Amino acid sequence: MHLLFLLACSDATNDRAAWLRETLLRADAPYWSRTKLLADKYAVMAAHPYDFYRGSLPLYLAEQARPGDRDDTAFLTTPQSAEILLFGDAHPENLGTLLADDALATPDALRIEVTDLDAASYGPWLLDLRRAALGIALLGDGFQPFLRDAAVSRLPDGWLNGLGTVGLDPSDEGRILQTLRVTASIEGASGERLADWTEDGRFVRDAQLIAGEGLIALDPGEAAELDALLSQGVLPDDARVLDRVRRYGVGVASRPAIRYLVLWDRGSAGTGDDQLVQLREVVEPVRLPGAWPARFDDPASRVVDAAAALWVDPGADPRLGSARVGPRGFKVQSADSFFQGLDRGDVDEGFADDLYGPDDLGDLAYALGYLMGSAHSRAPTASGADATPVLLDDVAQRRELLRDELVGGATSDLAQLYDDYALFTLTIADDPLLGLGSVR
Amino acid sequence: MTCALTLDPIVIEDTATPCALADLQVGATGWVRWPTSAINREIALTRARAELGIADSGVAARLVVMGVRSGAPDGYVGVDGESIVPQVQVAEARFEPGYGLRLAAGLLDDPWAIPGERAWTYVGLTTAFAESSGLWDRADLGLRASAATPGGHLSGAAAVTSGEGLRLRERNDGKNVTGVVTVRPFGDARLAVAVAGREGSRGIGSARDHRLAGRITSVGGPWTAGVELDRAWGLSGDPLLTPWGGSAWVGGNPWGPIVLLGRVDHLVLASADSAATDGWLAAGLQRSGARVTARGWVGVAARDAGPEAAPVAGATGLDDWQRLFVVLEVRAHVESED
Repeated sequence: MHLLFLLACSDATNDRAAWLRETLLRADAPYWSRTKLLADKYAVMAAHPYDFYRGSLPLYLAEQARPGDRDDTAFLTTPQSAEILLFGDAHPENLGTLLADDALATPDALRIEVTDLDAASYGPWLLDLRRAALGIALLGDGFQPFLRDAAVSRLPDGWLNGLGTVGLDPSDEGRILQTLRVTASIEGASGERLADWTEDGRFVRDAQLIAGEGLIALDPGEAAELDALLSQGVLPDDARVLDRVRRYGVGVASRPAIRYLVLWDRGSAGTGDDQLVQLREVVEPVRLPGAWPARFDDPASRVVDAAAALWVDPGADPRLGSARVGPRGFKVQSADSFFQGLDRGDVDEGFADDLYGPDDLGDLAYALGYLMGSAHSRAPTASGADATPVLLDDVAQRRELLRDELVGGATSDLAQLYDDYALFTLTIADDPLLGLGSVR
Repeated sequence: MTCALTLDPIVIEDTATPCALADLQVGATGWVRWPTSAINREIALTRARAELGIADSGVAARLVVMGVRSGAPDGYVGVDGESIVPQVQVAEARFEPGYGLRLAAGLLDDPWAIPGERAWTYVGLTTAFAESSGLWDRADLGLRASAATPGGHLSGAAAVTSGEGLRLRERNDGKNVTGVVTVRPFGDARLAVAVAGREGSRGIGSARDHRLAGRITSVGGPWTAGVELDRAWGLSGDPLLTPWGGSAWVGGNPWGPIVLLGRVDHLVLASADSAATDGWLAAGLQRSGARVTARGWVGVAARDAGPEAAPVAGATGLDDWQRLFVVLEVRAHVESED
């Protein structure tokens, strides 16, 4: 139906397609020299609407800024409401598990947070909720619309209840996140990624990429770059580096970014103390509309500084850090199986197998909203003020209105996303690089 | 005689006489904003421009460099932090075969935006409407032909340009074609009526980027005044936007060193809810020498915008502000003839 709509409106469609290409490619300018990786990213985005949603944040934000048919918001009533520290891209798959100390590797010791902070920024708080609401609506699009809307409406409930609190109680996480917690605990304890990726203290290298994925031996330039990064204290003083590879085919938006995996230990014989750390290039993200610039030293520092303010436990990932080589910044994160992100495929599978239902999606929305509300109110504003009264003033006694606005906005954003997805798939069928090849 | 190095065709009287020109413009501003927000007081370098030009025997070359903050406009990955770095804004090779005809190639002044800036005059405060509205870039890579009738009553310019060559390499096959016609009933700048049109495209998607504009200005007496209207089809790579807007301004120094000015801009991005009105009122003191003009300003600026013009479209609390500002600007200009 969407395709028929697009074909029927060819002039407007061509204009929209031009804007879509321009917006996505402009945001991907740091990756223009990596055409194969960029084409791989666009291919992944075309494979599923959720992956398109993940990879099209610049388009989504541009849409939030452009004048159009969207109803005025009843919120963001003061300049201070645009000074809140935001996750920037708080979609459900950015929820993940963290573990401060693997000696305490029980499910309860794991912490669930929004773990990808590449787009964190000080800006209008409503943007984080709108983006998350669209993600929930997209996950629930297989349900009847009223069930999907009911799930989305739990997001503002969670956010409002989270204001002024210190994190989410695990008992309120819902079954989807509890499953993630248990899975990460079990797979972390059994060292699943270590077993999959390494053998006898060495990475198992792929001879070539398969479907864009694989662990590949470093070339001399990459080895030198990684040497420089590791010399900046990203590992403990007593760490011994066992092996290093470049990792391909991970993520969506950041798929063309350089990723290194490092296998290290503290000197014990055998593989019992082996651990994994990932260093991933961080480029400057697209700016949120209304966001305050220049509150972090650089994109890599942004991730670390934002975690310190937004996570309940800033040490929830003991390896979280940043390092730089020339102008290129990298974020450093633990990569063991204790550290896992929510996977849309697993959630879809749960819905298909009737393991989860609409209520579970609602619980997920509530948990995501609660985490965001807690973090938004806990982190100081761009002015250094307490965010809680700013947020409470902005939503004062208008819980129902916030719910209605977010549900209505998610419905229209979802329709727009499907139209753009159809347009995108048609565009890359014609040119896998959206026309970038003609520029270069 | 004025050294034959400006864009305005009527300025040229004799290009055979060798001359060289150097022009420096520096301006800084400090402002306080309300309602208060995270950054309520800021000091900014509003102008740091250097121009060099040499003309001889009907051939001329110009180079203009302007200081710009490095990094993306709203980002922070720049040069040595976000240092102010020189941006080449004009690199012009010019040939004047006679008969009032002038041919130019390189990185060229925009034939609509820059005459508008000259008519606006007070660039130390802000750029002219064509540029400040985002509707026109101040320069582009390309070719230009311009001509004026003897006496300067009628002049015209036609340019074929890249479309976004000031900041970006060529990104599409389409070229912008711009035409400007100016009528000066008295043969000088006391009254000028100009119209412009552009057929253009922008970005990898070749989004339409067309313009139609008109302007009436009066420069040269104790007062400078102007009114301008612009209509666009496509903006910043978004072909679906069809903004329009205008500006009216008046300024001058009728009483010795005292300078007064007022300006109102109005820009509508889409619907009426997306309209934004910006205004400036300022008073200052001016001191002029043979080669140097300095001005100090105190003034207020304000924005009154519809919710759809806010950074987050539809957010009513993010759209209006007022500022109190002070500005100091100096322009030094020297010409020499061999």
